[in-house]
Amino acid sequence: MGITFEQVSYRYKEQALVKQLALDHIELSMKTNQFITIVGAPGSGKSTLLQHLNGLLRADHGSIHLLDMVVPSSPAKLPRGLNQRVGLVFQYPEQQLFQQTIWEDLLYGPLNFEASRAEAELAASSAAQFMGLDEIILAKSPHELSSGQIRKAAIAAVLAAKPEIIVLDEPTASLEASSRVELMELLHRQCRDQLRTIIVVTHSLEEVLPYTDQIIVMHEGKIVFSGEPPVLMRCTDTLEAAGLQVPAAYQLYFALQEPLGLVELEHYPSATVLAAAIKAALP
Amino acid sequence: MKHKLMLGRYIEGHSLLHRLDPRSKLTGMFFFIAAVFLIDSYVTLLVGLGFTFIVILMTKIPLAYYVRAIKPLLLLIAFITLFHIFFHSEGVSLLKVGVFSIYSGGLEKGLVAAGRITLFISFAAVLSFTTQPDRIASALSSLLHPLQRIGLPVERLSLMLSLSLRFIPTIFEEAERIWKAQVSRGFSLADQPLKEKAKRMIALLVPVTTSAFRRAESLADAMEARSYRLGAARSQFRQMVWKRSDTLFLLSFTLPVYLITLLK
Amino acid sequence: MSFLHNSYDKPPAIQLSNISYHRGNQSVLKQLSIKIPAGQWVAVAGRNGSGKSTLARLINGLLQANDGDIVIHGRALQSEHFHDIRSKIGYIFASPDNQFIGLTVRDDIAFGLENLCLPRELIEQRIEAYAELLNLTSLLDRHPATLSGGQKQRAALAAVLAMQPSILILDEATSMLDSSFRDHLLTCLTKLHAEQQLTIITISHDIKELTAAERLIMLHDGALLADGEPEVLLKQQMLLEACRLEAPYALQLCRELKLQGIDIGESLCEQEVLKRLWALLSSKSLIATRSKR
Repeated sequence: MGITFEQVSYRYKEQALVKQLALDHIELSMKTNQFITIVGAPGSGKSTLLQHLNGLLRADHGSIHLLDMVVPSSPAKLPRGLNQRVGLVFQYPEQQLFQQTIWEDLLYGPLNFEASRAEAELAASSAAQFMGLDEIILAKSPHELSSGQIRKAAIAAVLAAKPEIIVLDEPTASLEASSRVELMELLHRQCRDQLRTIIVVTHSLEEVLPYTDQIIVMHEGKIVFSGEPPVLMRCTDTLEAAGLQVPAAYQLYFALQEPLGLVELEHYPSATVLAAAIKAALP
Repeated sequence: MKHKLMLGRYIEGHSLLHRLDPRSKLTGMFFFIAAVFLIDSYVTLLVGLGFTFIVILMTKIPLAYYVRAIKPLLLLIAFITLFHIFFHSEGVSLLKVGVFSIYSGGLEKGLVAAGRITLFISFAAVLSFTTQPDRIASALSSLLHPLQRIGLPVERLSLMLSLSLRFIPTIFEEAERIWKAQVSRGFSLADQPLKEKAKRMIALLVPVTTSAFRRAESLADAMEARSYRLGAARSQFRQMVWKRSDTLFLLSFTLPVYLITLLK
Repeated sequence: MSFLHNSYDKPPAIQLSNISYHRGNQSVLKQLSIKIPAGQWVAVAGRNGSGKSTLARLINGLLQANDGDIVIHGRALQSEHFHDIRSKIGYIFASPDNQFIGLTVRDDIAFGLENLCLPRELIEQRIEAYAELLNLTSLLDRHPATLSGGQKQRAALAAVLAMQPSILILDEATSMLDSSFRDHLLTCLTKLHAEQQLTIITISHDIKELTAAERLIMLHDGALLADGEPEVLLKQQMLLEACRLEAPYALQLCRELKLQGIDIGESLCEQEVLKRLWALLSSKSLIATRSKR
C-alpha cells in the first residue's frame, strides 16, 4: 500500500498556450501512517499536487496509487470513496464554514458521505474532542470564536468524515506562535495514535521538523528531493533553490558537529537532544 | 471559468480605436444601439453590417476574435431566427415543411433579427476589446457626472463599479476555492431535485457572501487609512483627453443613422 | 538611546493618555498610557484579543476611544483632523488583497496620492520613485489577481510610503506571508528607519520582527504588561507565554545547556550562542581552539 505517483503530468487548463507543466512527470512514493511534509517555493506545484490526491484535479498522464485504489489520468472514472478516504484541508479552512453552529458544520461532512445520524454525531464528537473543542465552543457560531479555535474547528470538520489520509495546505497560516505548535502536535498525534497518514504543505520547516518522517521538495513542477529530513538539511543548494532556510536547530547542530565530534543524530536535534549531545561530547 | 468568456476581455493594440477617448467610444455605442433599433429590412441591415465591418477592420483585431465573442450566443440567435421564420406569414410562401410554411416575410424578419443581435454583440466586442474595463468605468462616471445635480450618487456608483472590476476576479477565485473545499467534504449537486439543489447551494453562497462582506469592511478601513473621503475633492491621475479624432468618430455615426432612417 | 527619556526636542510622535476602548460590554483597552518619541521603532506583542490592533486603529482614527486623549505630533486627535493626521500616518494591514484598491499597481500607488490632491506630475514622480524602491517597476501595470501575496504587500508598502508619512504602522503585515517576505521587509524598514528617522510601530507574533525594533510593548487583556528592550523581555518565559510566543531555538538551547551544567547565559540569537559556547569551552581549555563554522 502507500501512495505512489507514476509519471504524473498535469498542465494548467486555463493557459493551454503556455508550455509550462504544473506537474512534470512526477515520480513519488510515500508510506502510509507517516507524517509527510511537502515544501517548495510558490508556484512549484504543491497545491496542484495536493488536489490530485483527492481527485479534485485529474492528471493528464500517469496514475496515482493511493492505499488500495488507483486514480487513473482523466477521463477515466475516479475510484469510489476517494473523496471520503482522502480528506483535504485547504488554506484558511475557516472560510468554508457556513452552518449556524460549529456542531452542525462538524456533522456536514459525515452526513454528506452517507453516515447515519448516529454515526455522524459520534464521529463529530470524537473529532471535536480530539481538537480540544468543548461543548460551549460547539454551540457557538463561527464568528464568535478566536482564530485558533476556528482553525481547529475547520480541521475537525474534515476529521469528522474519518479520512484515512489527511492532506493540509499550510494549516498554520496566520496563527499565533503557540497555536501553531499546538496544531502541529495535534496533527502528529493523529498520525501516531490514530494511525492516519498526514501530508502537510508548508513553507516553514522549523515547525514540521520535530514531527516529519519524510520531506518532499518541489521546484517548477518537479520533485527535487524526497527523503529524510537530516539528509535534506545538508543539501544547501536544494534548500536555497526552493527558497528555504536551514532551521536554527540544524544550523547549530552542523556548526558544532564536527568541531565537537558530536554523534550523528538520526532525528530532529531538539534543544534537549542537542544539549545532551554536547555534554556527552565533552570530556 | 473566467477565460471561456471572450466578450469583456481587453486585447492589447495600438489601432485608432484603441487610442480613442473611452467617452467617445461609449457614446458612439449608444448612438449605434439607437441605429440598430431602426433596422428592419435587408437593406438597412446591410448598411449596419457595412459600418460595423469597417469599424472592426479599424480595430486591427483578427475577425476570429469577434467570431469567438458571438459563439456563446449562437444558440439564442438561431432560436430567435427560427422563431421568426416559423411564426410569421407575410410575403410569398417559399417552402412547406410538414405543417409549417416558411414565408419570405418570415425569413426576412428572422434574418434581420439575427443580424441585429450580431451587430449589437460585435459593437460591444469592439468596445471591450479596445478599451480597458477601468477606462469604460471612468468614461461612464464622467458622462453621468452632470446627473449628480439631480441627486444621482455618481461618485458612489463609480466607486462601486471600479471596485467591482478590481475584486470580481479575486472573489471568483475564492468562490472556486470554497467550492473545491466543500466538494472535498462531500458536497454534491448530482441527482438532486431542483429544490434540494437550491438548499445545498447555501454551502457555497454563505461563505462567499460572508467573505465578501468582510473584504468590504477591510477595504473601507484601508481606503480611509489612505485619507479617502467620499465626496471630498481628489486629484485625478488618469486623464481622458478628448481629441479631434474623437469628435470625428462620433460624427461618423450620423452617416449610418441617416442612411438607415432614409431607407426604412 | 533610552526610550525612557524623550531626548528629542520635538513633541513625542504619539502620546496616548488613559485610553479606554470597549466593544459592546467587553473592555478591550483599559486606561492605557503610552508615549512614543519621534523616530522610535516600537514593536507591539500580545495574544490575539489583547488589544494590539485596536491600539493601532485608535492612533489613526479608524476607531475612536471611549475615554482618554490621543495626541499626534502635538495635535489632539479629533475627527476634524482625521484627514490631516491620516496623511502623516501610513497603515499597512495584514491582508495583501484587502488593501489593494487600484486596478493595477500603478493605480494603487496613485490612489492615496489622489486623496491628498497632489498634481499629476508629482504623482507620476512618486510612483516611479517608490516602485523602484520596492522593486515593483516591472509590475506597475499588473492587475492584483496576477500578483503573489508578497508582491501585493510590497505594493501596499509603496502606496503608503509614497504618501510620505512620518509614522508607519504595520499591523501583522507579514502574518499571511512567508519568512522571505519578512526578511525583505525588515531590511527595508531598517533602511527607512536609519535614513528618514521614521517612527515605526510593528505589531507582530514573529520573534525576528520583535527583536528588530528598539522597544517592545507587550499588551495583555487591554493593559500594559511590559515595556522595554526586546532582547530583555523576550527572554522571560512568563512574558512569552502571556503573549503566546514561543522561545526561539537559541534560547531553548541555552536553557537546556544550563540544565546540563554548561552555563552560557541566555541569548535569542544563534550566532551569539555559538560565540559564547566557543568562548566558554576554549576558556576552560575543554577544546583546542579549532576553526568554527
